[in-house]
Amino acid sequence: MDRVAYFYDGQGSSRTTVRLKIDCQMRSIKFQLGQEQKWYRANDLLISPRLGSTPRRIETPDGCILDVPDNEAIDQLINASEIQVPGRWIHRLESKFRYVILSVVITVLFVWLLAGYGIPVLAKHVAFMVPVTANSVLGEDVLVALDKVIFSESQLSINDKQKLTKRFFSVAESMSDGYKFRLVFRRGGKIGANAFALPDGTVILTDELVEKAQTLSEVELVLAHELGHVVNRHSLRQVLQSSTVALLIMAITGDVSSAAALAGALPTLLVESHYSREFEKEADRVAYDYAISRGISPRHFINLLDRLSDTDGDLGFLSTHPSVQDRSQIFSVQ
Amino acid sequence: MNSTISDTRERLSEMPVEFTGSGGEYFRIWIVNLVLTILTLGIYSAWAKVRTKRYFYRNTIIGGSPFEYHARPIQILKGRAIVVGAYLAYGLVNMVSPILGGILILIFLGFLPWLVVRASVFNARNSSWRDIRFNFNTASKAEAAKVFLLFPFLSIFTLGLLTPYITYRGWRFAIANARLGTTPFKIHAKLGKYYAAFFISLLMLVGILVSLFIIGFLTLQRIGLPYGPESMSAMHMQAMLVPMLVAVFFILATPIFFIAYGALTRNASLNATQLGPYQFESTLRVGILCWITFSNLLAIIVSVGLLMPWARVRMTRYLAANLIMHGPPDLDTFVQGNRPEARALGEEASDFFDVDIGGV
Repeated sequence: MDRVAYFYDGQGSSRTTVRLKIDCQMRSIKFQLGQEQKWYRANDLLISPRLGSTPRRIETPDGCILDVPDNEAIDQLINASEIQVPGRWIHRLESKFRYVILSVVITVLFVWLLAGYGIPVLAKHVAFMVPVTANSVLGEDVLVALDKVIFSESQLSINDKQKLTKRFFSVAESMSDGYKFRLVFRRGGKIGANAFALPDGTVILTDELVEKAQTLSEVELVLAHELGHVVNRHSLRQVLQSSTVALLIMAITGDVSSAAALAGALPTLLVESHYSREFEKEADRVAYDYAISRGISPRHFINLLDRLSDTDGDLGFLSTHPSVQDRSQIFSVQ
Repeated sequence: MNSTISDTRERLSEMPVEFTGSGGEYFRIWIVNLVLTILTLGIYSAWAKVRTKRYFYRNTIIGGSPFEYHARPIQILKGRAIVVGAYLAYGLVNMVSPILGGILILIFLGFLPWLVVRASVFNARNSSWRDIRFNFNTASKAEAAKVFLLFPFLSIFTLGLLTPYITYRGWRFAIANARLGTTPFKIHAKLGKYYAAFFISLLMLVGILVSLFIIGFLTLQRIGLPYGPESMSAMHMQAMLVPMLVAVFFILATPIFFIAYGALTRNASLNATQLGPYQFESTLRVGILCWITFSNLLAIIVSVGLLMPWARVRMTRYLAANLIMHGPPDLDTFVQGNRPEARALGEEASDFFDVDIGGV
C-alpha cells in the first residue's frame, strides 16, 4: 500500500510530503526522505486513536511525526500487528449509529430523571439539614422590601385581625416548631387577593383575600397552605434546586459561551416552573391534612381558589401554580 | 519602503485558517463523551475534554497542517478534582462562617494571577503546530496581577471607562507573552481602537434598549402592570407574559453589546499581531456574528440542545475563515529550540490547574 503522508522532524516547521509504504505482512512502515530510507516496526510507533476523519498522527521512536490522512490504512496496520492503541473502542462507539442513538436515549433519560427526581430529593435532604434559625435570616429584609414596593397598610378592623390571628396560631400549633410564626396584614394593591409565606415563618395576608373569602375556614386553609411552604422549606429548596439545574445545564451545553447561557434559559424556566408547581402541591397536601385533622371540609380551600380564578386560561408548563382542576383533585381524594 | 513591499509581494501569500470539522461528526463525539461522562459519574469528563479539544485542533489547519493538543487527561482530571475540592471546602466553610468564606475568596484572588499564568502556560505548551510547541512566558505574573486584579478593581471607580484599556492589556498579555517554538508573537495594537470599539458597541446597545423600552412601555400601558409571584388567577398569568417577553428581549439585547465589542476588539488585536515574518488579519463582521449567534441559539433551543455540536462547529468555521495569515508561503521558519522543557511539563505540580481563561 502506498499512502500520502506528511513528515515533520520535530525540530523545524518544514513539512515534507512522503509516500508511505505500509506493509501489513511485515508489520512495518517505510518511506523515502530525501536520500534517506526510513523504516520502522509498527510496534515501535505511537499511533494516535482515530478521531473522526482527522489525519492520524504517528510518532516515531526518533521523535519525528507523520500525519496520515488515510485512516483505513492505519487501522489495517493496527489490526495486522495487534498494537495496543488506548481508547480505540471510543471511535467504534462514535461510528456505529445504534450506539449514538443509545447514547442520546441514555443522556436524555438521565437528564430527565436527575432534573425530575434526583435534584428535588437531594435538595430536600440538604434543606432539612440546615438549622431552622438559618431560614429566619431570609425573612425580615424581604418584608421591608415588599412594603416599599407593593404593599400599603391594612384596612381591616382590629376585630377581624384578632379573629384571623387566632386561627393562624391554631394552624401554627399543628406545625413543627422552631419558627417565629407571625401573621401580618397588608393591603395588596396591585397584586390583589393573595397570601405569601416568608422562610422565617412570617405569613402575609392581603385585605383583598380576606374580603373575597366567605368563611373563616377558607382563610384558615390558605394559612395552612402557606405554612406548608414554610415547614417544608420551599424557599431554600427552590434556591438549591435552581442552582443545581444551572450547573447541570452548564455541564451539558459546556463550552459554547454566551449562546449556551441563553439557550439554557428556556429549559431552566420550564424546570423551575415544574418545581414551583410541585411545591404548591406539597403545600396543598399540608392544607388538606390540616383540614381533615380539624374536621374542616377541604372544599373550603377549593371554593376560595375557584372564586379567585374568575377567568379561565392556563399557561400550562410555564405556570408556577397547578391549575385549579388539578388542585381540587388533591382535595377530593376520599 | 514602497520598493521593499513590491519586492517581497511576489513571495508573500494569503493563508486563511481552515476549519474542516463537521457538525455530524462532532455530534457523535459529543454525545458519546456525554454518555461516558454520565456513566462514570463525571470522571470521564477529563478524557472527553481532551478528545473534544483534539477534534477542534486537528481540524484547524494552516498551511495544510493541523494543530495538535497534547494534554494528558489525567492532568486535567487532577486539576478538576482540586477545583471541585476547593469549591466544596469553600461551601462548607462559608456555611459555618461567612467571614471565613470571605477570607478564602480573598486568598483565592491573591492566587488568581498565578493561576492565569499557569493555565496559559499549560495550554500553550500542550498545543503545537507542525510539531512545534507553543509556549508562554512564565515571568508574566506581575503583568497578570495588573490586568486581572488591579485594573478591574480600579475600574469599579471609573464607571467602566477603564474597560477598553483592560481589554487592550488582556490581549497584549495573551499575545505578547506567547511564542511558537523560539519565535515570539508581537502585538502593536493602538489603544484608541479599543475605545472606539467600546463606544460603537455601547451606542448599538443604547439604541436597541431605547426602542425596547418604548415598545415595552406602550404595551404595558395597554395591559396593566405586572403582578407578584403568588398571583393565582389566569388573567394575572397572562399579564405576566408581557413583561416576561420584554425581559427576554432585554436578555437578547445585552449579548449584542458583547458580540460587537468582542468582535471589534478581536479584529483590532489580531490585525496588529505578528509572528516572525507573518502578519495576521481578522475580518469578523458584527452583523454576521450576531446572526450566527442568535440562529445558533434558536437551533439549540428548538432541538433541546441536540444541535449544540452543529452550532459550535458553525461558529468555529466562521471564526477560522476570518483569520488570515500573510507571509512567505513555505512556513518553514519556525524552530522548536529548547525541546526538553515541553517534555518535562507533566512533572510540574502546577500543571494540576487546567483553567481556560480568556485570550486567543
